[in-house]
Amino acid sequence: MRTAIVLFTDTPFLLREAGEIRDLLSGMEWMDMQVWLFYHKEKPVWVPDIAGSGLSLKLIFIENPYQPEAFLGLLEAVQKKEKVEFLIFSGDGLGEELATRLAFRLNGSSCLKVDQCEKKDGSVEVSKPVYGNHLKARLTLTQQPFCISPARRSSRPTRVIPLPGSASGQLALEQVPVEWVKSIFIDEKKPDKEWVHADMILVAGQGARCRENIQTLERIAHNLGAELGASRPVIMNAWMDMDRLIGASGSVISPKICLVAGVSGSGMFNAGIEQAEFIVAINTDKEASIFKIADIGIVDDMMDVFTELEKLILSDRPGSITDREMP
Amino acid sequence: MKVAVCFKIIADLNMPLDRDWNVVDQGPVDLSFVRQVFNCFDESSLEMGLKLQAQSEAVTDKIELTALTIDDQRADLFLKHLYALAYDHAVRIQPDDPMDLVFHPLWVSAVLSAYIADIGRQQLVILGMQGGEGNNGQTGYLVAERLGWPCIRNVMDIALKGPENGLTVTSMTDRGTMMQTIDLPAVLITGNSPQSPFLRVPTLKQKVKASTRQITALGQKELGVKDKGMIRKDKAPAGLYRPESSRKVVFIEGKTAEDKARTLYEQSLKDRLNQ
Repeated sequence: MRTAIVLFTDTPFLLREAGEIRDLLSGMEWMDMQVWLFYHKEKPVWVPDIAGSGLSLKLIFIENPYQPEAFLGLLEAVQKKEKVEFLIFSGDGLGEELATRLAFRLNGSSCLKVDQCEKKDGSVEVSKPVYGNHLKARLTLTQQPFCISPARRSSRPTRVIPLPGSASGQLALEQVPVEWVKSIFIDEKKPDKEWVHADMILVAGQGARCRENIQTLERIAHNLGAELGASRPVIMNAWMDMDRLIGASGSVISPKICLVAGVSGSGMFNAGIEQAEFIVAINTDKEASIFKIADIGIVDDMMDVFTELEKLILSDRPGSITDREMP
Repeated sequence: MKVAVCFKIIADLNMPLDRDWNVVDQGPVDLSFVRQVFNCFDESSLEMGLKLQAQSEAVTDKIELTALTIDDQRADLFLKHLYALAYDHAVRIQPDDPMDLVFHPLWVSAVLSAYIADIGRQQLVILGMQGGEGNNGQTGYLVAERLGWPCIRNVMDIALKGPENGLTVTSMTDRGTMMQTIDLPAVLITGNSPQSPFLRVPTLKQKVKASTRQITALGQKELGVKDKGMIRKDKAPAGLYRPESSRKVVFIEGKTAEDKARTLYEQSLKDRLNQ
């Protein structure tokens, strides 16, 4: 099956997105695979190492990287020439939009948030989380080209390899004008995502009850040597910044220790932490779904537990000075 | 300006107990015993529509706001709620087959776009990025494709540009927050929106006033979507299953929260923190 992986170099999370695709395709046949690599500012000198340097590479310059319509026009032109049967897009918003809209334009099949896929005779079978991650659905994609994007997971970023000069093909394509946008302003404050790689992450949910308790948890997290993340209700109440959202619509984390407190454990949230090595859940409701994915459970008030935990950890660090003093 | 806000009523997926998920086949899963709620991203969309309408009264002609859903009569209570919140029209399209709502965004988008193009004739469509049941995340893009309109994803906020027929749209991207001034028509797909996180609550007086208003109920045939077989299906369901959990929780017991914290620290955290 002729297959193409579609990536855009100018995203800050390119290597992680390439890692998600590598993990999704692990174990699959790598024959006849291409990478269609969009770039905007400068021609790339390295590429993500998804499956060694044996892939056929197509470089595509895009003048307007802000409008998916511009990408779609170029993708249609490349597909007209290459006629691949299976296209795999990145799992970010751009990849999902392109997979859906390109499949529609080409009378193909599309599916997003795919966590497993298998090529079968003339079709592709995929599975993805449904019903708030409580169940998984198997779906058979029936119409070529099959366009998919992976579910967000905490994948190791790929390595990079130098642009394989002999294998690379720069495509000369006519750019697609987008006239409906009159002006664009981007506040280039890149989301702070470094914290998601911390070894210990404390995650606060609606059980924190108020902004003041979240501020207390920020201090406790600091003194524990942890980063602080949050579930959607905390972010929607504006108690914490959007960058700190954990879950299917936020960040997916895989720390060594995840302390999650005051979170009911919706499927969408659980998808964001279930790859953590060790999960401690604290909630006042013993029936809360969060306990289904935890190693250790505590049924009690989260603030009381964390306050004591902070004392214990600090008392075991004699002479340590914290920059945020306990009251 | 005419605006359609498309929304979906879903089961509160946090409510079913673990055992409720065990008996499934090809679906749809019976969640009729579970409380129904607005899909969270659609809730933000509905609130954005109301804010836009309020802005329009000060700048230009008042926006004509339509709440649109595909559902059976269970949605009527929610549509009355939206009438109470000043939606001008409440429209429900009755599906022939409830399964199509869960795993076939191609079908859902065909029905929504048929209403918008042929009956509602709106210039702006707002809808949430995904629903919890099918977890498809595709309907907005497909509505845009079917209508031949541009779309913006991950929308956080919308403002009228002025008396002209345009909008300023704020959306979240990997590079930061993007503000675009656009011409209509357009489809806006709402993501996490701290600016409009929840739908406002109507007063009792508003509810009483709305209770007598009629909901417009349409069938697929009235939309020209005659037969579900006429709409191309790009995928076939091959089964639902319950993923196995690799963990089994051990609860820490103790008289007080402090006791439990000490046990947690001594037995489970101390060594891990020192590694």
